[in-house]
Amino acid sequence: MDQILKNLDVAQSQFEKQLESSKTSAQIEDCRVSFLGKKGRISAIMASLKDLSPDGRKEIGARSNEIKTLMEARLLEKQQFFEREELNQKLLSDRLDSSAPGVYFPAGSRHPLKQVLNEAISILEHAGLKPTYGPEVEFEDFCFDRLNFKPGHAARDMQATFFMKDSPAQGPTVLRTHTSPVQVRVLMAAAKAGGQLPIRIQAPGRVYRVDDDATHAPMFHQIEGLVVDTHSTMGDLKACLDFFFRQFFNQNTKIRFRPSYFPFTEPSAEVDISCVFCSGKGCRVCKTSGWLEVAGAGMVHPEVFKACGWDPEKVQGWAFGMGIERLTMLKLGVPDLRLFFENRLSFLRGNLK
Amino acid sequence: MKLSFKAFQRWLDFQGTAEDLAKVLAGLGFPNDGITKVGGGLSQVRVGKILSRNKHPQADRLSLLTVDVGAEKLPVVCGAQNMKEGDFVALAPVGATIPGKDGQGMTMKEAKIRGETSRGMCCSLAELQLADEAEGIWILSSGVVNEKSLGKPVSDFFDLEDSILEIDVTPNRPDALSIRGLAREAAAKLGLKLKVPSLTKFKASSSYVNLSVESGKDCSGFLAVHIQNVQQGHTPADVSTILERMGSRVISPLVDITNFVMFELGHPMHFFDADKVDLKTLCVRRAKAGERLALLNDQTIELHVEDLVIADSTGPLSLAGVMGGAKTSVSDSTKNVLMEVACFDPQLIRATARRHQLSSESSYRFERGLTPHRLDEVAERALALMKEWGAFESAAGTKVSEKVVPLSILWDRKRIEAKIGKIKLSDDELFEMLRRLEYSFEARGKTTVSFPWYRVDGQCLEDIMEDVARLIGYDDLEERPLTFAESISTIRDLQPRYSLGEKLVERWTNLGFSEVVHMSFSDPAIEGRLGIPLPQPMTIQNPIHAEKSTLRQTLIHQLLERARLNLFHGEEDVRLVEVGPVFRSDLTSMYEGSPIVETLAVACLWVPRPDDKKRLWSRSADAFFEFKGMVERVYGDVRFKMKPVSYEGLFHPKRRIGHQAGELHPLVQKAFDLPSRA
Repeated sequence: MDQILKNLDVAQSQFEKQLESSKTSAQIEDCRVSFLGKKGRISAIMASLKDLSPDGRKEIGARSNEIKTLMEARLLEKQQFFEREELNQKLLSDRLDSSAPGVYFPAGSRHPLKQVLNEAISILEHAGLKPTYGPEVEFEDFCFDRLNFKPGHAARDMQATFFMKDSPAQGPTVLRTHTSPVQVRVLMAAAKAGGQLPIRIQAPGRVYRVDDDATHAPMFHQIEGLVVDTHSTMGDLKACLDFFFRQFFNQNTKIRFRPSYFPFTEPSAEVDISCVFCSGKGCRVCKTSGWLEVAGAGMVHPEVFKACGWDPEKVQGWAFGMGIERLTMLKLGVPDLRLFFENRLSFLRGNLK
Repeated sequence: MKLSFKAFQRWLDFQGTAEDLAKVLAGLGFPNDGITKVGGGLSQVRVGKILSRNKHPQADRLSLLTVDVGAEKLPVVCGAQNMKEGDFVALAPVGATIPGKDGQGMTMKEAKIRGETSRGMCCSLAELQLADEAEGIWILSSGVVNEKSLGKPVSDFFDLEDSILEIDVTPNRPDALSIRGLAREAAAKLGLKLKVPSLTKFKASSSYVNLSVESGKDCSGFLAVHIQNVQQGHTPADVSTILERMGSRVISPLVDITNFVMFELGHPMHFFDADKVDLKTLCVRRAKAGERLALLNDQTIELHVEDLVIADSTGPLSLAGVMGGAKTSVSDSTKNVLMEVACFDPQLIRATARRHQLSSESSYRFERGLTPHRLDEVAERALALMKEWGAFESAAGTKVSEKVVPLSILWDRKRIEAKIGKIKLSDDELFEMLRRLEYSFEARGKTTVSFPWYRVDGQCLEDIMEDVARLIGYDDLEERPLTFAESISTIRDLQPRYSLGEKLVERWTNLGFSEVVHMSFSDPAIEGRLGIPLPQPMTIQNPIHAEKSTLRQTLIHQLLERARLNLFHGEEDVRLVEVGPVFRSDLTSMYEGSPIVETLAVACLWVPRPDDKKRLWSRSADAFFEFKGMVERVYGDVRFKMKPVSYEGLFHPKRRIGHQAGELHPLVQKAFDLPSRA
């Protein structure tokens, strides 16, 4: 029995030697056949087990199985090593020049104005203002008269207007000069629907003015907010804009209200934010004032309520509006308004921030 | 409005700099577009006296002067014509630096001009940056300088340093288009008192003037003052300086008075030569068809029946509130003056100024609205100046005016606080503040508030609210926390529609497409090149260019044009996508009750990089199938409910993907000048 154990040990060491000297897959196969094949060394040893006692058979059987498993593992390992080697040799013979240029795939991008507009919409949604949309060709009545722009008043000069030819029977039409006619539509519809409150909307969109120079485009974008209920004050308006600008720029952004005039709000305010370039210290962009003018706002004018079917003694509210082009220039550092509408790919690609 | 800080200080003892004042005014709703410093750095310019003036031997238009600057007598070559021997001038000697016309600074050097030595320069107001333009050199007033002043810095005698604030005044506040108006605002905020200007009363009725006003709506007040035996005198130097700094020109004492009073009080006025007017038939009326009027600016206009004129039996004399007539204008020889202080309907003035393209300081104020309450004060101020600058024998006025009472409403503190937040001040403290703006209060049981006499925009409690908030300071209004409430949309909810558009664009951008934004303006000729059937476009009455006169009916032609430009700029693979409105009468509008059809469209365009001719680069699959794959990926799970629009003619007949996509027809490609398939 000891002899058999000794034979197994010898077989194992001879197996290692032969495996070591094998240099090809074929030689590894030879090695496998001569030790683990049907006529191989291990099979021969196993065949001699039948002469042993049951205990001896058990002991030798376990030992030989152990060696057999080990050998199989060693063969597989060696086999895989060779396959890898051979594959590598084959890959290295590939004549590809990997330094040649890649196949061009363009970087797609959102337009900077749309990117900023969508961001603004989303922040205002968090403040509970529902995105609401109105047409760009509007009745002059909705764009001006119902917003307390008196006919023939100098305030109309503040917004040079495109007029449409061939207006429908209901009245003359214009390209809207601001997003505020959406206020009129919403107020009138809500009054007609029985006066349901609160009204909390935002109106993003394209607006038009007869103006075309380095700092004015005949079409641009605005976003506007309107809240109407029975109790909202200037303080609530300020809180909303404060939230908006801190979300839009950063936590340290401060806002300030200054008195101003818009026909459709009273009291009215011009909204400044602390300069986003110098944090309010004063620089070239804010003309050393530390503040940037970014929005107009105020309490909805009683005349607007009246013109849209509401009793100004019973409801109150606030509104604000701002220009997306200006916000985009401030946020993305775009130096020139005209770049937005030239739509050069070289410009559009560079604005992911 | 340009505001001279010096002129402002004549009305208010303001302790602080021009910058401090700018801050106070901005906090009250009058921000500025900048502050210009003038008159500084003139210490190197000396008082000189012209001892002799001779012609330059080589040049007709130049003069040789000898200028006495005390210590020496300098030869100076001068190109101006407005000086004579004995005049005092502002001389910049060799080595002195002056601002120069362009404000860039220039240093004097000894020069030979056509063979004659010049050792200094006689400066004009423009060269010293004291006026935008100047005719001739600055002749120093002999009332201010004399022989003893020679050689001393001009700045010792003329207090020239000033700051000019470019104030933005909103269209509702014409009263603030004046020094007094702005001073009143600052005084109310700071608790100061306005200084009172000198006034000269006139006799209440004139036996010389007969006045009639056709319509009290067109002209709510008209005061005509007849002034006899006027000696015009001359405009004092300090006033000339103020006039120039506030953007006016110095013309003649009488004209200067009308301008100066307008800047001071905000109310325009007009002087007629009384001897050229038929005083017995003076009237304010609408013009008649066919009437013509020769204006002060040498222009003769055909009047319109909607124009308001001042007229006499001979016809129109002036265009009310806009411009005077040439025939009756005052001149140096004017002896008797008819002074007009009036109040006209803003809409009429605005229409007239636009119709004849005549804009003046006067029309600018009238079209914003003035009140007829204090016409006498304007006249009295002008008379005081006429007396100060010159003299006159007598003045008597005739007035026609509507009874206009400033609106008064109930004081309602609760409602004010409901809108602008809790106020710490008591009612009495608030009243005190508002009184400084000339509000008045009457307490009979409940308190009523009357708007100030000068305000044209006071109509409701909200207007008072704004003044309360302005005086307290917008920064000091009650703060509130952010609140949230849910709102239910009462008009058609278009958020899903817009979101879908955004989602589709987002998907295209993931495939390498760049989103573009085009304006809605279009040219039907370019849209026509698409070869697709389109209805009549919507047309703009007043387009910016003829090629931008309609509203776009599709996005595709704009993408094609844009692709061509980008290819021209060296791009090789152009992928564009756009979402935006189109205006097509044959579709259905997405908005309820919109005047015309508007709906949202998404379009995209790919101009693939063509295969390289030298076979260095080639696409493995036909780009058509690559695009088809993209279209399937973007639109695969989208359900459209819209009826498909016909794009017959736009696409290659065999290379189409459904109705709405495909390879561009070679004819369209050619029409848009694209170098390769798209």
